[in-house]
Amino acid sequence: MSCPSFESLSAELDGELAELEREAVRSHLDGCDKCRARRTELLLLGSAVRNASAAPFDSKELKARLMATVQKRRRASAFRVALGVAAAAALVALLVPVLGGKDVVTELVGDHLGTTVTGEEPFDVVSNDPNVVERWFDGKLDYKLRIPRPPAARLLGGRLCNVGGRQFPLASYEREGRRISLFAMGTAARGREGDCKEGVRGFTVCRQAADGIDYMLVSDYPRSEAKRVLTAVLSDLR
Amino acid sequence: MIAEASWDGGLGVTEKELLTLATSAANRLKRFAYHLCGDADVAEDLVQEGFLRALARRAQLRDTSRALPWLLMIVRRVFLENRRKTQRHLQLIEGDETLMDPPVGNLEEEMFRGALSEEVADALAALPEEWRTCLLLRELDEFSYEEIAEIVECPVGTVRSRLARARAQLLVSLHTFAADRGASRGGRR
Repeated sequence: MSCPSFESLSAELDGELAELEREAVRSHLDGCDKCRARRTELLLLGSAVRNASAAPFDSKELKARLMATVQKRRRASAFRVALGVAAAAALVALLVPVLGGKDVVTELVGDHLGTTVTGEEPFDVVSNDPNVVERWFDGKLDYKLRIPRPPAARLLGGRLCNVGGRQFPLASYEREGRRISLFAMGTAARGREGDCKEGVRGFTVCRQAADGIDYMLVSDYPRSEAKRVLTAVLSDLR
Repeated sequence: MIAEASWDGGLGVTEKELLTLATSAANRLKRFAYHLCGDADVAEDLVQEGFLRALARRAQLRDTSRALPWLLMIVRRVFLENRRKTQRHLQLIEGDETLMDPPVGNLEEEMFRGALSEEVADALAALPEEWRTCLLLRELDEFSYEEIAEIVECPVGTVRSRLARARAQLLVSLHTFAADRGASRGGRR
């Protein structure tokens, strides 16, 4: 075999040759001093490139900027909600695609996790008193939010979450030692049946309407139990 | 796959997940952007702008294990767009089909000692961006040719060719430097 091309040697070094070509190049290298010297030089060149380019960068400020970018988006979105841009009538039309949307359920679970497990998403309002939590949401939504007062669950607090690019209130409860998150998704579409989805990143998400509002509950209960819990939680709104 | 978690067969990552992915890769993103533009402050701007775009298009990221190549691709797109606005970058040396065949010399000792570090950095900076980017993605990040092709948005064969050209050009530059230095030492004697 004549000497392989420079490009073949370069690709061989990267482990990117097809098997046949690789075998041919390697067997050539065994008997060719010049190509072996070239290969060694390429190896050393790689090491020299890494030495010359791998200086560590300080990225603290960059991380802060990235986090600020997300917070700014959330604030901008909250501001739009506060202005009442999403009028109730429009919301009815928008809600169906939102709930059928691609990321919504995953995002709800993400918010549930952020609030209850990782602590990355602290409450905007911490209180066991539903009146206090309701007052905090006053003026931030274009409808009057009622926080359910289920007898078997203890309210922990509330937060305004960004879900699918819109702001939705979350009320967090403790029930039988488990954390559950209740999201009010706005005006319910007429005639919509409640339903449940199990196994969403290990959680169950159920939907049900009460008092004209669509609610979604995230919990680690199995499907049938999660449905009963949501019905119980919403019972005093009916 | 995040996609499996979605209710209606939906795809993509949440804002929070994307933020976590981007902050955990902040060093690599910044280094990549720095090697594109050559300025640490501009590099942060590029990453931030890229991140904003990624947020808007996060539904496109179907597999979080591909997050880094995807983010790098977006950062590079931002860089190329900015460059197009500020200068007329019309010529790519790839038009020249001949690949330089550098001499096989004895650079080993000096490379081992790192004595050529500054010269390597200068020679790297002098490479066309397309070649340099492929080389650094390979040498620093150890991406496969397929991943590099995804990041720089070109065929795998082009990646292979760019890598060879970048290496050949670097060797030529370093041999030239070594020869000049030898001559200048000889002259002083």
